Amino acid sequence: MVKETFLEDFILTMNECGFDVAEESLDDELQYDSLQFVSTMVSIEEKYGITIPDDYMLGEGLDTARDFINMVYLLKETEDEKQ
Amino acid sequence: MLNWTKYHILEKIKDDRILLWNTFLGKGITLVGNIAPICESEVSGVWSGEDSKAKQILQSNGFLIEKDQYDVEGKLISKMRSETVYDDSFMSITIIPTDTCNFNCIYCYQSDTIHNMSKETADSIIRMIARKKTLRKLHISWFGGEPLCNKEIVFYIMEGINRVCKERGIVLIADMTTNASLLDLPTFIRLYDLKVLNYQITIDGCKKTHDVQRPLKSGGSSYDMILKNLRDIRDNAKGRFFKIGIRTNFTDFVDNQFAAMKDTLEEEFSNDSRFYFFFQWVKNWGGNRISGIMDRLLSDDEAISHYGRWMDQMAQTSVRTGDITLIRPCSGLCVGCRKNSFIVDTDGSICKCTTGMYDKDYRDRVVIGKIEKNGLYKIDKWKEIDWLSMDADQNECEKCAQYPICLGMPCPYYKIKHKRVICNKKTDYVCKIILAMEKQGHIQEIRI
Ligand code: SF4
Ligand code: SF4
Repeated sequence: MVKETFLEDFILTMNECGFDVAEESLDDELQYDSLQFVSTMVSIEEKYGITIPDDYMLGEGLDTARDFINMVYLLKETEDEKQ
Repeated sequence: MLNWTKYHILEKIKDDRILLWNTFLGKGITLVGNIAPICESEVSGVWSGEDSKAKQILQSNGFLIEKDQYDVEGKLISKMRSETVYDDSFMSITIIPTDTCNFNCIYCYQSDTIHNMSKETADSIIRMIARKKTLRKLHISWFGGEPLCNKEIVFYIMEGINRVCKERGIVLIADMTTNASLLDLPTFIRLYDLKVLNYQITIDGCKKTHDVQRPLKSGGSSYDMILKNLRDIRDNAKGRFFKIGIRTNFTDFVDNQFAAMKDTLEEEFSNDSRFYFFFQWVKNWGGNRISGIMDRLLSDDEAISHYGRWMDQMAQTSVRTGDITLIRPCSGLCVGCRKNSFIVDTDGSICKCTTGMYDKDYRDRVVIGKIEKNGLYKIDKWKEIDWLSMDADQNECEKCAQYPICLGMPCPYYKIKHKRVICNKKTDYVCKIILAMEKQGHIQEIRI
């Protein structure tokens, strides 16, 4: 089934990466270790066709699902501008 | 009353500089300034120093702990061991897609057989993972032979595993030990998307030494192929979340050309945190080929003394040296020591050690089961217990600074083969790694 909205799609990606995230819990603090973090970042890169730069390497500022969403928005915007 | 944690390593670097590593927390600090209050106090048992800024910093970084914590920290690590060894939510599977290799390394313990994993065995591995209902985290390692000699099976299995993990929300990460000759850019990019993110490749010194130690099976040079692939990856791979560990297998021959190797690595991989460097000295790992160079091997004691020198010299470059993953808590446990970790051979046999599985006298002890077509696997519990039991002296281990890393479970294959435990304490490798990290500025510096 093709997901209609970015948000639904994003939540599905987070679920596939082992996060128990739903629309109501986007602002809850996420618990993850380095293994889950790296695995998730690579899934996000693949799914959204973006390259996540070094600034996000250590996960600083990525505490909730909404932080991850904002990161994707920002990077997509920057990449669109470049094109 | 404050006590020093038993699980710390302390190295005085200069009169005003001291390095401390907490092996339990897996982190360290360098204190700069007036370190006298620390150096003049006893650095074990009850804190005998005065009340000072140094004391506060030591306490807030977990080096000084309360007496009741001190009394139970050894027990905590023992508990961590049983949880890690028997953890059902984690699985680490090393897969051998082929035992053939396109290299003819002078120290390799593997024989010249050709067994490739079939699609049927590949399917049974994917099913095995899908059947494991408690699984939350999966770590896949690719090993060989040269795994990329059977590239299509590697892709096939990784695609299947990625599918299962997505469906079930299982965290997946993979690594590969490869000679890198077949790791061209398109292969690397495809593997990256499939979550093969960490690589161990080998370059034995400069071109001159590498091509002698690691020639192609066809007789030619392998050095240029490897370097071309690494340059391509360095310059063109977009993703940042991979790590390539460059390992050098040391002999006296490599040692004599150390400067040339250092220059090349510095020129190619400086200031790029995706690449790091580490050493291993060549030992008799078994097999027939090593007999040709027995007289050139270093004894363990010789090697340990050189190791410090090599690390020190590499640490002066800006190629990352000293891999923290080797000294994190629990990192000393190999696949052999965990219940849900094993190696799957080309025919679906379940083995406990990548070295022991090629030792014909001990293979029977190393192979502990087999995966069936439907993904079920049977383990011989009597054989398995030899691998999972802790036979080191627990009382001694609880006093050892390396206990959080090693968990008192050093090489079980050695234990089975020689009927005694080999303790890692004497190699002092933790110390050498942290010193290299400190030299390269990877440890937080605090002024006191
Ligand atoms: S086996 Fe040796 S290195 Fe490991 S914890 Fe025990 S004493 Fe320390
Ligand atoms: S040689 Fe020892 S430490 Fe290495 S994989 Fe085998 S059992 Fe583990």
